[in-house]
Amino acid sequence: MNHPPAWTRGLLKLVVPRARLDDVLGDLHETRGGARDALVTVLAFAFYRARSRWWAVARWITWSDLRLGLRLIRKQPVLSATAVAALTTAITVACMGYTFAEQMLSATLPFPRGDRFVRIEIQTPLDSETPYETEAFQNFRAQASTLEHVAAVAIATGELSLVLGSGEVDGVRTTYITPDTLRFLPYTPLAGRRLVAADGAPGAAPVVLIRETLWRRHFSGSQDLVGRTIHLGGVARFVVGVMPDRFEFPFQAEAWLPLDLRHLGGDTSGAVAGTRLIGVLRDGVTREAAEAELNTLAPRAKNRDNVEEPLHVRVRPFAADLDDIALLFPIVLGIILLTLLVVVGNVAVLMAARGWSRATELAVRAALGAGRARIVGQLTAEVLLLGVVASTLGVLISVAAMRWIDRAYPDIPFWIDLMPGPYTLVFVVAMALVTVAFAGAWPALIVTRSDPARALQHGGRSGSPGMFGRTAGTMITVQIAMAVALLSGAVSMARGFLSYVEGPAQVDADRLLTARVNLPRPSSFDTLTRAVVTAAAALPGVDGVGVATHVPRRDPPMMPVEIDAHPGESLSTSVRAPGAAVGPGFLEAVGGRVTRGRAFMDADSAPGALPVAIVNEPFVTQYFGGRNPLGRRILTATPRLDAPSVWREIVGVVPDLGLSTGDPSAAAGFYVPYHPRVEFRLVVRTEGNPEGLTQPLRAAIAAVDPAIRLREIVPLDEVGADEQAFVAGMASTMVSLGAAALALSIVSVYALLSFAVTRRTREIGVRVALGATPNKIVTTLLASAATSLTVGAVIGSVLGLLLMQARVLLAFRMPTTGVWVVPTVLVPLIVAGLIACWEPARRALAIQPADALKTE
Amino acid sequence: MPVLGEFELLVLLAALRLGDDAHPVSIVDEIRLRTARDVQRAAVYVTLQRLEDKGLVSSWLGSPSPERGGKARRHVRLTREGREAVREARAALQSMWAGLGRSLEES
Repeated sequence: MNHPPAWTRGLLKLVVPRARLDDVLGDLHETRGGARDALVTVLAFAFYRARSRWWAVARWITWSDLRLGLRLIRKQPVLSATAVAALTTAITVACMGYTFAEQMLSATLPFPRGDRFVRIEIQTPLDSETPYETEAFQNFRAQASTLEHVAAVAIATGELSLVLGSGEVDGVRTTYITPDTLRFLPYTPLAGRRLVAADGAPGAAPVVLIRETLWRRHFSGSQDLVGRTIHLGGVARFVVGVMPDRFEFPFQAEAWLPLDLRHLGGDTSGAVAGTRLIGVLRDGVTREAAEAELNTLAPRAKNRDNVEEPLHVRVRPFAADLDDIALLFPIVLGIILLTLLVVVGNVAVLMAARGWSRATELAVRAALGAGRARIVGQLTAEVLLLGVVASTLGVLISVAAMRWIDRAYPDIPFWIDLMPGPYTLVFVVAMALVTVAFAGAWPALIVTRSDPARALQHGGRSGSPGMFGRTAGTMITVQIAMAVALLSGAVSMARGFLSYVEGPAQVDADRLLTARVNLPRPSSFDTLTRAVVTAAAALPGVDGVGVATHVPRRDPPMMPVEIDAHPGESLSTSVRAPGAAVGPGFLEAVGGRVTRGRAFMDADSAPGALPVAIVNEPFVTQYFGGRNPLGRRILTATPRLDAPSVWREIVGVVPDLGLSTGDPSAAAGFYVPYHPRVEFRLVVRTEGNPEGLTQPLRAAIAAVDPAIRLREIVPLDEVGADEQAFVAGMASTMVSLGAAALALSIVSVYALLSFAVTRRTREIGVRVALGATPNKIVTTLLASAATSLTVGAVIGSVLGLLLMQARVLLAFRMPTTGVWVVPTVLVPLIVAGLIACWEPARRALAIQPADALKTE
Repeated sequence: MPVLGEFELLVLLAALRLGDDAHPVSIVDEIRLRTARDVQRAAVYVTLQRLEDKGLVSSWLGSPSPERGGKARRHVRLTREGREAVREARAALQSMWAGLGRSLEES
């Protein structure tokens, strides 16, 4: 663990004088001081600096102003709470958005010289399967002068099986890496040594470097493990060392295997699939210079015109992906600032309304000698208190939210630090100051610009709120539009989430265990697949096993399908539908009984067999009008196989078994027979709790061939957990933002209308005396509010419908948004608006002319 | 001559005792050892900063060391003004203490 934690070091740099910083950091390191020690030091220096330097700046706000502000906040708890809630929401959004964008833009590997590490991307021809990485690796290593080191890494697809002495089998996430790369990384093994160049030499004994968690989980942290062999991925390997948990390079893994330096192979003679190149820039060398040199050393390949030319090489920062994020950052910043502007503007309107309602009191203070600066200071003090509370809450909530995200998404790269850094906190403080200035000082300056004598003469009703009337109306309109748009999005997300969670009724999700299986040898795909199915079926408690390219909740992509229409039939002949390849027994295993025709048999997958298909009930309803589809033909390709489309005879019909969980309207789909391939999904139906089968399944598959890799062994209920968490998070965030925006708008409407009634009491009294009807009074009062609400609702509805078109950017399908969403959101808006207008309207109607004319 | 606060005086006295080995960590230990007070190192940092601003102590950086993560240690020593301030504080305290010993024992 670093002492002190990295995020506190940023704070220390902000407040500790530079001359003392090294000493303070050194003391914390030496005494192994944690976050608490660091924060105490931060606070001590912050107070010291504030007293000595910054206090003079804030001299115009006194303690009595702050006490008075606190009293006013207590007197109007609803308005104050609404302002705090809105500001907190805005600052939370600002803090999280800035942190994410900053990390994406400027993240580097979190160790010294981490910014020298780069990715080397070779843009190979689209149809080429040649591993140019090996040739490029050799060229760059031998000749590149701009790079201090060239490395190669590969992530093993799936987890390698670790077979323990007790017979237990565990899955281990494994990374392949050029062994001499570890000397460039500042991590010391807890036991043994790192991988060295000799570990990648031809004929070297198989070795492995393991991670601390694995060491403690299965080997009790024993020092004797170094030098012993473990059986990982079907190979007996010597353990050369144990790395600490904080070592995660290049990605989270529990074991590191050496790549041989000649072929970049791991356990096979050929290069490991998915090998990528990494470089370490020499000091003083730029990425651009390295890229220029590597392009002269790149391998050559034939282009479309059959002419040899060097492949194009790109050198990018290892951690930050600049191309997309450089465009995204200003957009994110713009959205944050716009959100803050709208929220702060609304709070300013509220504060101005409150200030105007105290015009008499302020006029009296001015008449008694208080200067304008003092009165502005008092009004600003209230907002200062609200801003401090909101900033503190906003930072705390964003820290908690990002910690949750960090736990919910363990695959986030290790170099991404989701804790707010010093620049984020500076950004938040700056936003808070802007909030105080805009929502506190500016309305205060407006309210106090009128002559106090005139204000007293006119009973505090002097001064023109005209500007605030227009500004307030605009702010409320924008806020309503944001609220409606966000709530529309939230409702759609919630619908998608529910659809995703429920899944198709026919699938017995609570009895199914799924796994992703990756096979080692192409020549034995068929044999191994059958062996895996047989081994799984033999486990106690299993009453169904199947293989497929997709399981429910892993929606297959939409594919083009031609339907063979008979003459005179009015059918759609060219459609797009989701399709999956399934083996015999799969549909039964997930709970689908064939309702018409037959299921797939082994013979359907045999070479030369007639192509067949099974469709689901939604497909029959949607594309055959409910008519019997057996014997009819569809033209379609085979999912996940590079084979041309063929005409297939429909031999069976099954219920909806989840080809489109996220969007039920796209459920109409088909199944084709499964042909063996390198990776497939295994489904195991159990009598009891499917989680109890996890270890036995691992052991059974390892017994078939320990080189078979498994991953994502989870009950079907947990498939797509990441997507569910994402959708739930998005829905929650949008509901929070939308509700906050709506609440702030409604409170603003109420406050402004109340203020208007107070200000116009005499006018209303005169109108009533001259014969104005109640309808006329209410219409005059509520016209502008109704306009703001209506215009905002219309704009927000359009924005909401547009926002949900962005669902196509998601990796999984979401239901289309129908116009039914609009009334769902508008009804609560109308009700809330009526409530906000009711009390002021009731007061206006209760005004008696005689009483009103006496009003000062 | 600036008037010393109580904690400022403790820090100066600890620095005086420690001589060339005076630095925040050793000052904390010295005060804890001699007064049994639980002293926060952060308070010592800020106090040393204030004393240096007042010209009562001066400081210099030692050599970096691996135990300190490669960071150098900042040592402090009293300046002439600092010694004078301590002498004045002692004289003031002695003057206030004079004759109080018996009444403290009796109460």
